[in-house]
Amino acid sequence: MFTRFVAPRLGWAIATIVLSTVLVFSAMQALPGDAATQILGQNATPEAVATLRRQLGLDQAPVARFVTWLGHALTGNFGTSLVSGQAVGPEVGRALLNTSFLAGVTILVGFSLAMVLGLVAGLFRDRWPDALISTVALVGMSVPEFIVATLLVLAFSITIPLFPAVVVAGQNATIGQLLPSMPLPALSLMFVAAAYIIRMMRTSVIDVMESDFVHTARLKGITTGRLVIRHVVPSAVLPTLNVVAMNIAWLIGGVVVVESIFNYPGMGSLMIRSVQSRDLPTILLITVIGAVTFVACNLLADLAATFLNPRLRYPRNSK
Amino acid sequence: MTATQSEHLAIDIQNLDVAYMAGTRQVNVLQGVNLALRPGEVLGLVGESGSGKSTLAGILLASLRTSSFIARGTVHVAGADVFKLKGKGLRDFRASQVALVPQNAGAALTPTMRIADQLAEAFRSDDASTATRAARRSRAIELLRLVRLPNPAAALDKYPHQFSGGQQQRIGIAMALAARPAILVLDEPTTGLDVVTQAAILDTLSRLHAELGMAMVLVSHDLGVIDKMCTHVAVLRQGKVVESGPTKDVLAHPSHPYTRGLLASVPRINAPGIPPSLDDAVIDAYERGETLPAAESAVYERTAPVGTPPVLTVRGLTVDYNRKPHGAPTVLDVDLDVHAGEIVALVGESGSGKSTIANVIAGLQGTKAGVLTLDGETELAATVPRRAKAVRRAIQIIFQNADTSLNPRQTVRDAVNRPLRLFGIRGSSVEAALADVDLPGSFAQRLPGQLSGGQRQRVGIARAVAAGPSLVLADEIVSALDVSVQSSILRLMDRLAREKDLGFLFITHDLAVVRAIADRVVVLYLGRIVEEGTVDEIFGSISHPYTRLLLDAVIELGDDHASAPAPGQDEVPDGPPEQGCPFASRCPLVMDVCRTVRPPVVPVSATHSIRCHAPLNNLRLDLAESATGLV
Repeated sequence: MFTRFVAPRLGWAIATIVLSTVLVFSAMQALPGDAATQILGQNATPEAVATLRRQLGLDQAPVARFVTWLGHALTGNFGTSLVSGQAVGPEVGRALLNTSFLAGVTILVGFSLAMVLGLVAGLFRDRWPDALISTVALVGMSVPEFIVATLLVLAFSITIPLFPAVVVAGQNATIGQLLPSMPLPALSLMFVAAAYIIRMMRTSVIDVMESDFVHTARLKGITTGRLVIRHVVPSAVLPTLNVVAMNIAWLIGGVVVVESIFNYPGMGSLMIRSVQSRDLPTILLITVIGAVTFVACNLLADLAATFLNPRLRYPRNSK
Repeated sequence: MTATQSEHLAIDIQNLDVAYMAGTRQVNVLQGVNLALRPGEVLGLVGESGSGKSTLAGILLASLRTSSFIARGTVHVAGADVFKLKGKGLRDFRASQVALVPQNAGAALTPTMRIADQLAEAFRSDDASTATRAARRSRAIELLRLVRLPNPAAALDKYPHQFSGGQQQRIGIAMALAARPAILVLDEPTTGLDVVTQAAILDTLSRLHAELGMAMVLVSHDLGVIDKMCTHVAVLRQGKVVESGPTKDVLAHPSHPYTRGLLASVPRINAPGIPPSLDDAVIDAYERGETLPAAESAVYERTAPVGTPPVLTVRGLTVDYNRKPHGAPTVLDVDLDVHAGEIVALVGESGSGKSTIANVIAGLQGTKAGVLTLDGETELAATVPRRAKAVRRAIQIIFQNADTSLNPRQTVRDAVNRPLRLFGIRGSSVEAALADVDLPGSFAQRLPGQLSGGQRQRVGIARAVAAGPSLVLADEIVSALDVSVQSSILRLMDRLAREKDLGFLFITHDLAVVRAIADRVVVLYLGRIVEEGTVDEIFGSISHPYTRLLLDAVIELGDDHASAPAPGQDEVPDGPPEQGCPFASRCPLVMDVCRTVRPPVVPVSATHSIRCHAPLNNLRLDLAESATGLV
């Protein structure tokens, strides 16, 4: 199991992560300016910039700097922020925790709901519940998340003042302080991510409903509830898992826009600030976390698909 | 069953029309169907694809395709007006009165549920059996024993994919019997199974019918199966019952030209030659009250070419799928010759390696050992990319399913023109290639979806032949076709072999078709040749025990002697043994030496050889019975 299934994927996973850091590092080199010019501002003398560069180690060749960073990163040392001079770990960790919490709520509530909605749409194919759900899903896929977020703010914090429009608790807020302002960002994320899951689940349910085994089970005279839960759902969920995994990875790594709109102190906001200040160690750590999440989610989805599919769990010839 | 119920008919269908709407026009799928079946009788529904026989079977379970509807008439099954049933009444009817054995149990069993759960669902309405887990399990075991599934207790906790096709079908039957139905509907229950497995399943069904006495409805395209199983038969054509009555009467004295044509078009293992194909024009004329003479009515006997040069020579071919170093190879030491103008049949059940060998010849599969020679001079490289263009041109394939091997978005012209362009063939055209397969040139504009099954297969043949090959690999090219179309494709194959000196390697599991078309036959079992000879020798009086098993298992019209192998012996094992004779585990004549030593090639004549340790005398048909008795 391990050598056949996990090992080759693990190899690809490591390659993916390293490659993503190389890409991000190169992209940062291509941007004009660096941390020294950003910190000192426009009126700095060339001598001052050069001195700060030497202090920050930015005067060395890019390849040498990347290799040094990679060597340290492998030992768990991701360096210090070029802006604050503090180790990047705790700061990114706090942001990761906040984002994970936001993502967790979205996944638990939103994705479960999406699976159920997809199931309902598939079961009521081409009738009004399907038309309604599919239309909403299509809107979710086509409208960018910043518009969804803006509309939600308009509806639920301005027209009907239920939730705060932005997070005012600041960068070092605890989860408890963040909780009241959670609903709107979570809803925006759910709306966009759920759309893909609904579409996939719907297609998958329709396929399974037309299969021979569902026809046979129906002719056994079992109730529709039993038919759906025992015969349809287990097979229909399998192809949806990969879409769910992609969305989880996207949530962790790429909630940049939604976090910015709501001023939510997560990884997305931190990344934008770090790019503005050219704070390379912070950006690289966020990149690594994003890539690891992406790879891990896909690996987990594959493992879950294997676990849920008896054809993979019990090969044909195992007696 | 109570006395009053038993006076009822099991099935009573009157003036039934089933239709769907095409725009505003009503299209009848079934028209004016009247059928009655008493309890305990077995009704066969026979007809070709599109005849409405599966729709009729579905109606007995109150099941219609969503777009179809009952336009007229009534359907009573076990006393219930089935299309008046709704909700719980319908579920109870399906759970207790009537059950379906589906066509392909592999797809009809839910892949994510254990066998025990699926069976328990089917006898859920029976309180005594569902009281406790132990009661459920013992009832499930009882059912699996009834259908003679080997090791029923262990089967309960397995999933469907862990069984072979024949075993899945047995489980499907057990599931249908679970509710003790008054009527069992079987939709092509053995189509797609190997001939030996089919014989065993049908034997089990006969025993079950004798024991349980339910009425059965058997849908089949196979007249031999209908003849063996059914007391009554209804022949369907284009949604109408053209003829019905007691099976023996209808088959012995058919009154409708369609029934007569259908009966005449079936190839037989005990009579050589290609039967005449069914002529739709004659039947349509009869329906209008006119008479037309049939275009062909005689059996055509092909003659094998003599002294032609070889187009393909295979020596010592060994293919190994195993990754383990000590496993027995999938295909071992196969020698094969195909001469110009010759049709060589490669025969065997699933797992016999016949498709593997075809893939090797086509260059789609690597080998472990062996030499392949084309036209007596060119040694074939192992895989397609390493073969010269001329070599690729010389070997062409015709696929089993013309529906899926033709691109549905490309016209016939695109498909047939491809080899002409690829190999830069001058002096030929798409129209000429279509004429070769008796299709009009105007068909070039059509898409595959606008053609019938037989016409699509002709396009597949035209595509292969247009390249100007010397060898054609024909992989089960008639097994997906209706029997009436089969003959015309076989005749086409014969003509192309003669006129273009094509060598055909014809891969099939259908022995009757082999008898009709082949010049020479190679019988494969688990990737090893067990017997080879001319077609008359293979179907003659001396045979390898495996060939004998295959021949005995074929269910022929008017032949009640098809013998069913013992349970457990009815299916091909998963792989060949590491030593000895591959057939030793199932052979009635097995001796100690068979399990350790590879059998020698025993020549029977210059062209006929058998690989067996048993003395040739024991392999004679007249003596084989008594020899079996002694072991």
